[in-house]
Amino acid sequence: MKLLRRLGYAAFVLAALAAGQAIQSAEPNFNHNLRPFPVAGEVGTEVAARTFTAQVQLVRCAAALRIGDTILDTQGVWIVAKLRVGARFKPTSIAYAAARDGAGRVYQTTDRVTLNLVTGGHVMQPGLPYEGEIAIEVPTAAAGSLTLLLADNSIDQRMDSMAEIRLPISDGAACSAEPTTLLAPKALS
Amino acid sequence: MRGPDSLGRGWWRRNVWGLIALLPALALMLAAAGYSDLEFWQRGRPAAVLPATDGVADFAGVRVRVAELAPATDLKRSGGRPLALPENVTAWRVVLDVEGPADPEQVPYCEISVEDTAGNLYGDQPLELSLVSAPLGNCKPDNSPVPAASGRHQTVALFVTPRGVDIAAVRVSFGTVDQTRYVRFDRS
Repeated sequence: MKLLRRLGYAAFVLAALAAGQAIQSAEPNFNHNLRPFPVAGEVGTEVAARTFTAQVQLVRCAAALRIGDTILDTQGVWIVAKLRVGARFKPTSIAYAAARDGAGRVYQTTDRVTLNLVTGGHVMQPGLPYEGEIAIEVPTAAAGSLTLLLADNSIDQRMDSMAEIRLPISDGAACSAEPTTLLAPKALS
Repeated sequence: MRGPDSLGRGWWRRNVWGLIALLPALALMLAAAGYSDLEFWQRGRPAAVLPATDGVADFAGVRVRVAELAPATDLKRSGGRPLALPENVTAWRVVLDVEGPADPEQVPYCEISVEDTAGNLYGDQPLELSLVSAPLGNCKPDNSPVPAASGRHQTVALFVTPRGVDIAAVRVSFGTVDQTRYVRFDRS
């Protein structure tokens, strides 16, 4: 009887350990726990992240960018988004901009063109918004399922809000074949 | 779980006080964990140091006072031409009197910002004034617009706000000396 009871205790301890292991493996991983807080929005509406506001005013796609006399082509397509952005309560810049496709792949803004508006150097004061265009180079097949991601930290976006705005491009194959130009950042004040 | 003890008490009866004590212990544990997080969060926010009644703050090894806080209407570009600001933008000038060590190297760098009546903060050297020729407002004597005699000098910082916004306070932080506090000059 005593041996049976001890076996019962051992079985109980093993069951508790197994349950703990099952719970631990069922939990989201560390990076998932620390993921950014998404603030979702649509084109034409203002999204208020913790330190900045952002509105995608227009989206288009094209096979090439025209920067002065230079034509930048691509094996995919260029996604061009016109943004209106502003600081909320302290001097702020947007330092991270990317597009995530339906499969979860993330494409950052191009470094083939200077995009001051979203690379951290453009510090905005509260109440004094700016607008301008940014460009992201993506595979043609991904163009129809993109969400624009904006954050104020270029290195670490975890545990802070991130603007997520769905980009309404239906078909990457239908993008304009003509090169398109980019609107430089300008103050709206 | 054993059966009844020699007094005939079952498991629940034997452990009733322990079970009751579990509830306040659990509450205390949660409160302690929450307090720890709250305290950590509050420590992350710099605390304000106020100046003395004469308006002078003795902090970070220097004595600082606000000599001027007013809209700046006479800003000029590098070439001397007047700078025209957009209609709905107001530029502000903050001038600080700084008294510190005679050796300029010993005067700590400062960062100046202004706070409006809604609590919004505005930074020095805004993009809107990038064409203005102005010294860096960092509390160092090298940038003083007046001769730094006897360890006294001035530092000037420029800001922009939307028109109609009123400034409530000037903040001066000396991050190389103290990152947990800043001097706050409320506008009288």
